[in-house]
Amino acid sequence: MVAANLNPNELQKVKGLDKAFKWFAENENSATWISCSIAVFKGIFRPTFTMMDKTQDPETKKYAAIREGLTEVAALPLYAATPYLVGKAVDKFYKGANKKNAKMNGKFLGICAATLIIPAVCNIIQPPIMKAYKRSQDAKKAQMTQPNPPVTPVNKPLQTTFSGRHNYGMKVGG
Amino acid sequence: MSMNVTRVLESEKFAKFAKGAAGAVYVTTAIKAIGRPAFIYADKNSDKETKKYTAGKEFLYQLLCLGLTVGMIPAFRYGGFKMAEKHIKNQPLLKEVAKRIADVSPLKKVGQFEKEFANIDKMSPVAKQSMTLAKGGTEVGSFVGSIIGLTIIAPLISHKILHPIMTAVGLEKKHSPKAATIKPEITPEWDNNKVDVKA
Repeated sequence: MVAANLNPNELQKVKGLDKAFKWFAENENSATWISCSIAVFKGIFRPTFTMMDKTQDPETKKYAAIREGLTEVAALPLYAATPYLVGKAVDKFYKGANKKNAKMNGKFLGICAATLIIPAVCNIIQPPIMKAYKRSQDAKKAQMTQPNPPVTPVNKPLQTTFSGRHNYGMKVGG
Repeated sequence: MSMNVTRVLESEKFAKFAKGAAGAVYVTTAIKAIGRPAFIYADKNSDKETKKYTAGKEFLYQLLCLGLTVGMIPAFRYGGFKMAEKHIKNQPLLKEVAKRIADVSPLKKVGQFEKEFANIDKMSPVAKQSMTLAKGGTEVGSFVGSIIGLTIIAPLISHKILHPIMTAVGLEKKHSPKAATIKPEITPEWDNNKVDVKA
């Protein structure tokens, strides 16, 4: 089937997948979008693959998966916020003639800066969270391995459904 | 100093590079490969062996990611371009452009298209629209290739590739198949000094 030629005199209607092509081509925040998307997908897939690793100890896997998830939780807002703030700074302080380029380049440099800041932020937020997780796991383990409490005799009155008479033999019938 | 910063900010070439998704992926992965191991090694709360292990592993992982993206993104860009190529082929105003792109080998098609796209401001609005849609195809390809490479393939194959390399350079002991059933006496992973910060 031969594709019809486009009309050279009018703009074509953009629909379906072409809308996505148009958006990606004209988007001036591609660096931000790709960095944030990678952070989201990594936050989902990396912990999943870690938990699927059969060669690791289950406790170690759980710990590593939580740590990986936390890393992306820290990364996503940094990748989103840093270029936005740089864009605002360029708007406010840049007085040159080429604002469009300055903004785009500034945002890209913001992404690069965020890439360096993320490990520092992770070093601050991860230790207390992982310590709290470890404490809760240790408490659970301690509870599970606690021996059964010793049985203490309780002075309870004997419950009797029969009268004080001794049972001297089988009672047949009622 | 401020003149140099302004020059960088206003640079047209840098803006073209910064606009694309692929550029951000290459540069951030390269920064991670250098910056993260450096950060880990500079941590004063960790012992030397832990730092060496973690920094070494991080460096190798980011190198793997860089290799994957450099290999995969051009292939996906080509795939995206093929999906959107009809906008150039079927546009009478872009007959010459389509011919020049068709004349080069598949490996060079996207590069040839980028050269043609550099002249987009000289084109009519209709031709510009067709070229923009084709450009969008390459950007979608970059996006999809980065996501698949970095978030699915890299974590999947890193265990298979990194452990033998780490063992070969002496950063890790040979992995025993019974390791999963043996609970370690000391749980170094609980030591937060071995923070694995791959984002």
